[in-house]
Amino acid sequence: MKKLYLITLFASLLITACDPNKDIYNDLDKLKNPYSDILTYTMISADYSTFSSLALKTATSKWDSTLAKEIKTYTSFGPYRNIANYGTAANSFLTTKFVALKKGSVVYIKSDFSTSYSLKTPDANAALPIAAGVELYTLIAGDYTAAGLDSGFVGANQMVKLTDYLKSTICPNAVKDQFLVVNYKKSLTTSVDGYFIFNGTAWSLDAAKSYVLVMADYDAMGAPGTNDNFSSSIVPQNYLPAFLKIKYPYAQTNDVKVLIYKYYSSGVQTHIATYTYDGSLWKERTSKLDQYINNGEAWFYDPTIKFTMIAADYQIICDFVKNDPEKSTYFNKKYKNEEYWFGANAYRVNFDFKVVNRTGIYTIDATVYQKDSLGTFTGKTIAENTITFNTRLKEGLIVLLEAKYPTLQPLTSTGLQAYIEVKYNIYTGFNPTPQYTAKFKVTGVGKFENETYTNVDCIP
Amino acid sequence: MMKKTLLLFAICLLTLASINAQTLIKGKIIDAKNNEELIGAIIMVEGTGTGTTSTLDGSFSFKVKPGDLKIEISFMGYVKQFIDVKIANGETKDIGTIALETDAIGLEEIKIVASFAIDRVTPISVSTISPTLIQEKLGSKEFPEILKSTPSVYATKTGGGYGDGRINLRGFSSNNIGVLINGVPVNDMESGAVYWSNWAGLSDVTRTMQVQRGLGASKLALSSVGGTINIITKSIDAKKGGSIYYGIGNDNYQKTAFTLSTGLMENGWAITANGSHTTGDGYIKGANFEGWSYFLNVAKKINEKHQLSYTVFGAPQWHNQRYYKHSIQDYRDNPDGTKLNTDYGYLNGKIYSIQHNQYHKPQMSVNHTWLINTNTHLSTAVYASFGRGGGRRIRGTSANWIQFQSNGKPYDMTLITPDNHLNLEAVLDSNKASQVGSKAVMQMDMNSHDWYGILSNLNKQMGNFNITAGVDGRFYKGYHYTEITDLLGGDYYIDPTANVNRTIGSPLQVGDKVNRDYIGKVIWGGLFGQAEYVVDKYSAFLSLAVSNTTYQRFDYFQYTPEQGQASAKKSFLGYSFKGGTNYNLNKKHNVFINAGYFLRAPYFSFVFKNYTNNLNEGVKPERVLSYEGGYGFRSKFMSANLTLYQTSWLDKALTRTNGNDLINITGLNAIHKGIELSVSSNPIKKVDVILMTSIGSWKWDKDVEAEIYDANNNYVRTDSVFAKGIHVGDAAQTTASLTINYEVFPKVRLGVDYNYAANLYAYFDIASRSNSSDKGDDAWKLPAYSLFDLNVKYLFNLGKLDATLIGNVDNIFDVEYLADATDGANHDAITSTVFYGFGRTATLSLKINF
Repeated sequence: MKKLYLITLFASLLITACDPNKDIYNDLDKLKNPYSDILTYTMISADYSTFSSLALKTATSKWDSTLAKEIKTYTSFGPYRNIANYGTAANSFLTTKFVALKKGSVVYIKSDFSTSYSLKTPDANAALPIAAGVELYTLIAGDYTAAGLDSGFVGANQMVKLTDYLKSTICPNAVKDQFLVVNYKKSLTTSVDGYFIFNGTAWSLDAAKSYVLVMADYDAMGAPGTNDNFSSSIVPQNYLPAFLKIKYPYAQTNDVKVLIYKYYSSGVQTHIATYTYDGSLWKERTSKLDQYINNGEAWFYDPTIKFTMIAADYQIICDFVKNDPEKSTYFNKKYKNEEYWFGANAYRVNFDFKVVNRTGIYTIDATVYQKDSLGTFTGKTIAENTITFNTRLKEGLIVLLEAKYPTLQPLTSTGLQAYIEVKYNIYTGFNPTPQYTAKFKVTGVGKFENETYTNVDCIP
Repeated sequence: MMKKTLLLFAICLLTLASINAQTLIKGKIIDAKNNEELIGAIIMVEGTGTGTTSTLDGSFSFKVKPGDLKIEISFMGYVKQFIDVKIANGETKDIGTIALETDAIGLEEIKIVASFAIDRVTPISVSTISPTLIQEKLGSKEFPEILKSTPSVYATKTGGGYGDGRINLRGFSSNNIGVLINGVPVNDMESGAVYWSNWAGLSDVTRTMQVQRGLGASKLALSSVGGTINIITKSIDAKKGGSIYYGIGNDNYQKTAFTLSTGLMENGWAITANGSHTTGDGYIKGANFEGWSYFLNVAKKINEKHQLSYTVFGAPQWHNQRYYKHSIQDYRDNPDGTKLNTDYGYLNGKIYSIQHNQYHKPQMSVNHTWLINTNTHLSTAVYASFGRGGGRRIRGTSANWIQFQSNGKPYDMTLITPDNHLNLEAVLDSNKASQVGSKAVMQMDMNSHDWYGILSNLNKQMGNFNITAGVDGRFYKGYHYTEITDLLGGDYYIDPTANVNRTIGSPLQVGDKVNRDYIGKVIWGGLFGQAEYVVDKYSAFLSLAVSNTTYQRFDYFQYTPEQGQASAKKSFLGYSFKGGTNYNLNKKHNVFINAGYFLRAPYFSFVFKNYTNNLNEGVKPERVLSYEGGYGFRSKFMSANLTLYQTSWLDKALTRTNGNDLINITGLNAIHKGIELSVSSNPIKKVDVILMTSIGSWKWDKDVEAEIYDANNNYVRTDSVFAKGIHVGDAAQTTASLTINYEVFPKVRLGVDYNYAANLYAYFDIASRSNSSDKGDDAWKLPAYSLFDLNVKYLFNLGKLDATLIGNVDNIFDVEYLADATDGANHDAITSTVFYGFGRTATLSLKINF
């Protein structure tokens, strides 16, 4: 009897012994397959107020708090007020709004993009640096002197003095991607507006992305030419789309142009508007889409590294070809800044898709060199060469990425999948050379795989 | 015909019946020296399988076949006795009380020096671990784990390296537990910690062990906040002979050992020697080890009054460790599972661990016992211990190449091979290619010491009073320096920590000292006294101890000889007093109470600021106040002990900085209280059952707030520690165990141990709880777990020699459980980092006595 009692006691203890961590493992498994979704959320005016308060809480300087308050006033993030700068506020905003969305979820925040509006100018007699929110600054005589521009205007090759002065004196607290329209003298008699962008380190005149309308433009459009400005009766949205279509006939889908023009409303104002091309028409950008990804712990702004290839980048590809025994004959030994394997041309800052440019010969003194020494392109059809050129271009981009980002980890420090977006030019005889974008996924440390790419036909 | 068969049948039945009429032998076994009843002694008819074991009051009775019998009485630790008995059919013979002599000489004297508690006399809460228990249950467990089945103990293997086990007693860690070996204190003189890897061979030479919970019975001024672990090693074996031992276990565990004794020779000399060698790969990955142990005891009985003995023992070892805990999900995601160890890689095909420890701490003592007269004796031990060794560490500006973050995740720059080991080859390549010398090197943090001491005890019996007075003096020097052991491929190393006695930027080689080079000197002088009053029903004691600790620090790295490399001396007075009384109501019941208070000198690291020679002038001593009350029950079939206790640990050392100043804050108190129950019983013949339950409530007491002022008495800020009500972490507050030992045959014993641990909160540093947002939040509570261990012992004869075969299987159901954890930011299972306990392990050993 006592024996039986002992056995049952032990048996009951056995049952409790089995798996002490069962509940924890169940909870962890649930986390592995969290609820996730991809959606687009459109901001309403109440959201801007909420966001503004959140941004104010994390503001560490007067500059930051002014910008934070403006979100509420302008009910937009705008090109000036980049939502990417409000990491903590955006995270709090999204975590509260989308409680159920966990790891892997993506939310595209659709926010209003300020349509044509008057650029904010500094208060009268305000001292430098400019206050937060100022978007248009007109240089005065004292500025030229202080910037080292003794001539009193920005002459040839003197732009760097102006951009340095912007950083040191006019807007030292700039945040990345911030813009500033500066009215400066090109010569003693001519003033122009320049659209400047801050890339995090320095200011530069963003001529590619922006265009300041000149007198000839207003005249060409007809009615605006009367006073060289738009107004409530001469609505810019009625003219600018057509203007852009004529000015940029080779525009690609999703191309963006920032236009700066004059608008009359009890005085001549300088206005700014952003237009995007949808493939057939230029439309004023009224909304902006910012991508946020949830890594299981917090929401992070799309961490894709974006860059536009410059001459030095094309040169990296040229040097790679030079040093590769299999490919070295495709390196132009005369000019040393172009190669025909991948098609990179550092001098022209593009990939050359003209077959005639990648076949034939070049000479150094009496020696004749074959450009297409292996006969890969010579005698092939356009369709065949198109396939080859596009494949080679993608490979060339990977060569570039491996050289530029050899230690890049496949997961960012926040646990998100890393991507790189490269913008490059392909020459097919047009001027200006159209720009394309390719997206690469980081699959290993310094290893890349192409995700999106636009095929371009080559020409003979 | 029928009638004849019936008659024959009847005669047969009658004969059978008469043979089966009760032929019984009974008696009682006691200890010859102190008359204590011996439980579990084996009484056998020699040459047969007939026999039994003595019960809880030392008595026994068993059926035998009539005739001339030779009865063999044996018990571990005692000399075997043989008694001739002639017994007739149906007779019950009482062979009386048999007093067994201990097989060790001088054991009683050592027990007195060590303040070994005596049942129903010493009024403290105590558990005694017999050598039988150690022999049967230890297997390949860490030494402190043998105490798992005693109340209020939480012992784990921590990272799992050989000798890296730890024990908490009533929720207090080793620097709050006094550990004595043969009465000599062994807690580190600078930190109070006990490193069980120094005593890896202790299990081979442990004669008996006692855990005295709470203030304990020791007369010395010990840091017994949680309790005292009193280990008595072998002394002189009375018998000549020896043994050899061979054991194997999981993961290539192998142990060989021997013992040799001359016994007490006619010329008065006696020598006992013991040695062992243990190796293994370790249960977890990358934790291979090798250890030796040696023990020598030479004794001379000079005459009837004087005895001298010299003992030396040590356990030199090296072992690879596991230091970094990981999150539960990281273990689940890794193919190595719970055996995951990110602290090693491979170099030249061999395991190279960045957490490697080697240490040798020989402990030697000369013990003199002088029986001045029948009532007075003086025991003196003069001892010395020389610790040599340390632990490997990776250092350098790129140390993170082969290190993980404390949250268990790799750094961005951590170099890992495709099969998840530290990439040491890549480190070698990078160091070779470097133009500024090695960026990551292997260094050894050496923590050696020389320790000399004297412990002298005068004991006088005056009527019913037993007076003890004594002296406890210690001289200690700890040598702390770090030296480069491996440049890992580079040509030299530049130490970023400036050694003022060396040109900055000198290229350093293997053997050069880096990072630190200092000596900690501690001189301790203590006096103690105890008065004990013992009569038949009552006993009471009062003991007082006073000590003076003088600290000094010598730094050869941060100070030039001109500046002065010696710090100022700082002395602290410590004292303790305690008293208690025990009342025996009758032969079955007794009750006791005890209480005590002690003031402890601060530990070395709190006396000197920030590893410099600057004194922390305002350092405050810690204090302990403890009460205990208990009840004991003794009967033939059952013995039970019930204790209630409360220990308050007051003014735990807490410092904050204000610029260059160090502020000492008092008021951080912890209150540990609880109930302990242990019951031993013999419910049916051949089975003994031991049940233990301990339920503790160990919490930090109140929030601490300190206003910080600057030198001009201007208010700077208020620092808080939100400690109120938070459960003490790193030890299971509720433990229970059930042990069933079954004597299958008289020479075969089977044991099953069930252990339960619950209310285990993760480890956290209470001093860092300064954020009001988690005020009152407990650390993560780990899931409770239950484990089963199994052991088998078989005694047999190999010709004329006695042999013992022991098998152990621990965690027989291979339960996956969490034994240790460090609390994470969210106090939950996801953010905390853990060590799992081991799965199923097994050992098998054979010991042959000659």
